[in-house]
Amino acid sequence: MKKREFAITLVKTLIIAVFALAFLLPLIWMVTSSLKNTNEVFAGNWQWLPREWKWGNYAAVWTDPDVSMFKAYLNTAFITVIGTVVQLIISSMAAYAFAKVRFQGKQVVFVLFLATMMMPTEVTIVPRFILFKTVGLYNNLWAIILPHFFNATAIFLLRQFYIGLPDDLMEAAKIDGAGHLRIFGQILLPLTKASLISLMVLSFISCWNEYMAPLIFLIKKPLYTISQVIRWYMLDDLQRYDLNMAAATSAIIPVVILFIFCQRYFVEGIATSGVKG
Amino acid sequence: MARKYRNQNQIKENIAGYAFVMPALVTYVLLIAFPFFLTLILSFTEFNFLKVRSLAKLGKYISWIGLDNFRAILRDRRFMQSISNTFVYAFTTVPASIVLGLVIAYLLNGRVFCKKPLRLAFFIPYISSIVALGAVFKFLFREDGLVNRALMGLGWIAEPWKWTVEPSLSKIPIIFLVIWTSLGYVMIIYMAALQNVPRSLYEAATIDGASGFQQFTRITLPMVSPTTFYLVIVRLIAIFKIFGSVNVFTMGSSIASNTSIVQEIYSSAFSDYAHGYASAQSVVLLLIIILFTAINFGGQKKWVHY
Amino acid sequence: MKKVLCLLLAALMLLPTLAAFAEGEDITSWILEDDTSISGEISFWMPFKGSQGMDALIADFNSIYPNIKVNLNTYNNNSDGNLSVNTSILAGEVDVLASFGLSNAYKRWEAGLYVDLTDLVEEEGIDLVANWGSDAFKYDDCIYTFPCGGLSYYVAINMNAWNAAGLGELPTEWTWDDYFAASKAMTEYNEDGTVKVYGGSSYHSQNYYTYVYGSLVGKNAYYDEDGTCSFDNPVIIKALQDEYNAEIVDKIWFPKSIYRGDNLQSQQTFLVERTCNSSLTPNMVRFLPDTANYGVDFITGFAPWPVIEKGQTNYMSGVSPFSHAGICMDPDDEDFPAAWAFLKWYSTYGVKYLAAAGHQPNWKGTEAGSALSLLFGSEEEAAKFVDVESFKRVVGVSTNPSYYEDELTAYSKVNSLMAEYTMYALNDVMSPEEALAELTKLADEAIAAER
Repeated sequence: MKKREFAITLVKTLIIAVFALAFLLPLIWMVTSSLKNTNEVFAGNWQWLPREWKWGNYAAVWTDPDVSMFKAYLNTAFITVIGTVVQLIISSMAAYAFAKVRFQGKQVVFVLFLATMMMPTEVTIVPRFILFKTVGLYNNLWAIILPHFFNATAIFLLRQFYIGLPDDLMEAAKIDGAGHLRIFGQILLPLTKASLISLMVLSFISCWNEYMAPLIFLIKKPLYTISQVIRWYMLDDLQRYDLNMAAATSAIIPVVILFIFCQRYFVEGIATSGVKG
Repeated sequence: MARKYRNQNQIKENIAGYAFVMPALVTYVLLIAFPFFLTLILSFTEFNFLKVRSLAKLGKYISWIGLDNFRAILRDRRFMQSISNTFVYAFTTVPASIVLGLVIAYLLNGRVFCKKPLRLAFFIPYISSIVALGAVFKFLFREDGLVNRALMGLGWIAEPWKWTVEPSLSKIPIIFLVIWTSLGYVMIIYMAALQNVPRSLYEAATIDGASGFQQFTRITLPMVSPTTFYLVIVRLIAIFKIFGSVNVFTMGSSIASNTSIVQEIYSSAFSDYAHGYASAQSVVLLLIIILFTAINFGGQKKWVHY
Repeated sequence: MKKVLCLLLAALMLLPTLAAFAEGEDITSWILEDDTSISGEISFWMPFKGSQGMDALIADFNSIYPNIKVNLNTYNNNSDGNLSVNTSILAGEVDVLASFGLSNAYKRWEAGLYVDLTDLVEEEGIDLVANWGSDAFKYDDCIYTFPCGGLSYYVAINMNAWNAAGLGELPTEWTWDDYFAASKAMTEYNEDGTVKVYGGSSYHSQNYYTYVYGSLVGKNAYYDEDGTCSFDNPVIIKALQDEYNAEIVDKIWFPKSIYRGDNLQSQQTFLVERTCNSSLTPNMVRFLPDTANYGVDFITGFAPWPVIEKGQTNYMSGVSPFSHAGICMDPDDEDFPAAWAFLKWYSTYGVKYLAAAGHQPNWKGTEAGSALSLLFGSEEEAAKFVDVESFKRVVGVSTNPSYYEDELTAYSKVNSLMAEYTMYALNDVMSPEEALAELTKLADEAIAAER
C-alpha cells in the first residue's frame, strides 16, 4: 500500500513537473539570451547556452546614461511604495467606516464604490490624460501613483475583515472613552495586519508591472519605469536582443526572489481576493 | 432627551463616518467619477485636446455631434474587428486557463513532492511584468524564433510560420501568452478553494466506492463552483480590457487581426488624437463588460452551488 | 545666322542656371541682415542626436548668433515619441520643432500646434520656391513650416556581392526588371536550397512600392488627379505584384512580413545580419560610418532608384521633401525673435548638417558635395566605406527631378489603410490585386468622408 502511494505521488509529481518545466522554458530562454552576444540570440546554429557569458549586458542595461534600468528601478519603486502605502491607509479608513461606523448614506457610498469594480481604468484614459495634462501632472510620477490611491477591491476585502472583528472590542474601548480614531488606530488596525500584507502584495504586483499608464503619462526618459525601459529596447533602432532580454530579466528576477522569500504572503494575498469575492 | 441624545450621537457618527471615508471619497470623485462622466460627455463630441489653447474657452474646441461617434463605430471595420478579436481572446483563454488551473491546483493539492518549487514555476509568469514576458514571447514566435525551430525540428512544419503577421496565426501567440500569465492566478485561487472542501465528503465517497474521477466531478466541481463563477467574471473583465500583451505584438505590424478593444482606444486617442471618438469607444467597452457581467450573474443559478 | 541662333539658344538654356545662381546670391543675403545681435534661449526638438550632426549645427549657428542659446532635445520618431512632442508643445516646452514625414506635420498643422508664419514670410519676402523648390506645403492657405530637409532614394549595394555575381559596372540608369535580375544574381543559397542571403530588399516601411508610381508622376503617389486614391492604378498594382513576386514567389528580396513582424529594420539586414545584399534604404548612408554598431567588411555602392522604362523622367532621383521645421512658441514670447532667427538659419544654412544623419538638405543655396565630407570627414575616409563615384552620382543630387506630396485629404487614414492592406498582400493572405481593390474602396471612403 505504501509503495503504491509513493508511486502515485511520484507520477503526479512528474506530470506537474513536466508542465512546470514547459512553463519555465520561455524564462530560461530569456535568461540565457540575456547573457549572449546579440548575434547569437537568433543565430542559424542556435544553442541554449551562450558561447561566451556576457555579464556585461547587465552592466550596459543598468548604467546606460540615456535609459538606465537603475533609474527605472528607483522610479518604479517610488511609484510602488507610495501607491501601496497610501492605498492601504485610505482603504483601511474607508473599510473601518463602512464596517463599524453607523453613518447616514453609508450604503449609497458603498454601492458607488463597488460599482467601480466593474469599470476598468482603461475606460477613463482620455479624461485622465486631459485632467493630468491640465493640472500639470503630465510627465510626472504622480500621474501613475494617484490612481492607485483608490482601490474598490481593497476597500471591499478590508470591510469584510472588519465586519468579522467582534464589536465587543470596540464597546469596551468606547466605555473607556475612546473615539473612532483611537479604536481604529490602536485597536482594530493592528488586528488586520495579515490582510494588509496580502493586499500589499496585490498592490505591489499591479504597481510594479503597470504598463499602459506609464506608456501614456511618462514620456521623458529620466522618468521611465521598468516597463518603459523594456519597451524602449524593443523599439530601438539597434535592436539589441541581448540587452532587451537583459532588461526583461532585470525586471523579473527581483520579483521572483521577493516571491521566494515571501511565498506565503503572496499566495495568501492572492487567495483572499478570490475566496472572499 | 433620549431623542436629542440619539440625534447628537447620529451627527457624531456621521462626522466620524465621512471623515474616515473622505480620503477614499475624494480620490473616487476626482479620479474615477469625474473622469467617468467626462468620458460619457466626450463620447457625444468631436474633440481633439491638442487643439485646446485655453481651458477657459474649452467649449469652442468641442463640437457636439450627438450619436455620430457611435454610428461611426458601427462602420469602423478595424474597431469591429478588435471587438471580435477580444471575444476570441476571452472565449479561448478564460476556459483554458480555468480548466488547466483547476487541474494543476487539484494535482498540487494532493500529495506531491517539491510542492513549493512547483507552485513557484506556475506562479512566476503571473507576478512578472507583462511587457517583459511579451518581449520574450514575441522573440520566441519570431520567424527565426524557438517555436518555429522546434516545430521544424519535429518535422511538423516545412517552413517557418509567420506567427506575428499572418492574420490566421497572429492571435495564437497572444492566446498562449495570456494563458501562461494568468494560469498561476487561477491555480492559487483554486488551491485555496480546494482546501475549504471538507475532507469528510471525500471520505464518505470513498466508502461508497466512488472513483477518483467521480469524486472530482461529483464533489470537487460543485464545491468550487462559486470560485469558478468568481474566476469567470474576473478573467472575462481582465480579457475585455486586454492591452499589454496585445500592444507588444501589434507594435509595427499594421494588421488588424490581433488588435484588441483597448489597443484601438489607445491608438484613436494617442495616435489619431480623436479624443471624442476614443471616448465613445471606451463607452462601448464599458457596455460590453456590463452586459457580460449581467449575463454571468443571470446564469449563475443554473450551475453555481453555494 | 545659324551660328547666332545656336548661340542664342545656348544662352537661353544657360539662363535658368544663371537665374538659379542669382537666386542663390539672393538667398544668402536675406537672412543675415542685421539681426545677428538677437539674444535668447530656445529649445530645439529634433529626432537626431547631438552626435548625428546636431551639435555641430548648433555650434555653427552660435558662431553667427553667439547670444542665442539653443537646447537640443532629441525625441523618438515613433508614435510614442510624437505623442510626447505634442504634449510638450501644449506645455510650452517646444520652441522650434523639426519633424519627419508628412503624416506628423499634417496632424500638427491640423491641430494648430505650429505658429502661423504666413505674415512673417510675406513681410520678409521669403520666397518658398526659390529656397526650397516648392510652396506646396500649406494648410488652409497658411504657412506653418519650411520643407527644409529631404530624402534621397537609391539602391545601396554590397559591392562584394555585386562583383561576385559578375554584374559589372554600377548602372547610371536601370529598370525594375534590371534590379530584380540583379537581385536574383546576388541571392545566395544554403546547401539545402534555402535562401542564405537575399539579393535585394525593399525598405522596412510598407509604402515603398507606391514610389514606383511616384517616380513616374512626380507627386502624390497615393492620389489620382481627380482626388480619389490611386491604388487601383495599373502601375501600382504591378509594383505590388512585383514586390510580392520578389519576396514570396522568387524569394530574391528579404520579405517585408519579417521586417514588420519581427521589428527589423532594413539597414540591419544589410549591415548587421547580412541577410540581404542590396536595399532600397534611403537613410542607409547614416549607418555606414557607425563602425561601433554597424562595422562591415565591404564597400557600399549606389545605384539610382529604378525606373519603369528607360528614358523616363525619374522623379525619385532628386531630393524629396521629407522634414518640416516650424515654431511652436507663442509669438508674444520674448524669445520669439530668437526662435525665428534660428528657424530661418536652420532651414537654410543649417540643413546641410542633416547629411551627417543620412538625410539631405533641401535648401537651394546648399553647397554641393558637403554630404560626403559631413558624413565621413573626408573623401579619402569615405572611400573606406563607400564607392565614392556612385555616391556622388546618386545620393542627394538636388538638381535631379524630385518627388513630393502636397495632397493631404485624409492622409493619415489613407496611409494606415495602405500599411495594413499592403501587409495582407505581402503576407500572402490576399492577392495583391484583391488587397489593392479592397484598399481602394476603403481609402476612397475615407477621402470622401473628409471632403
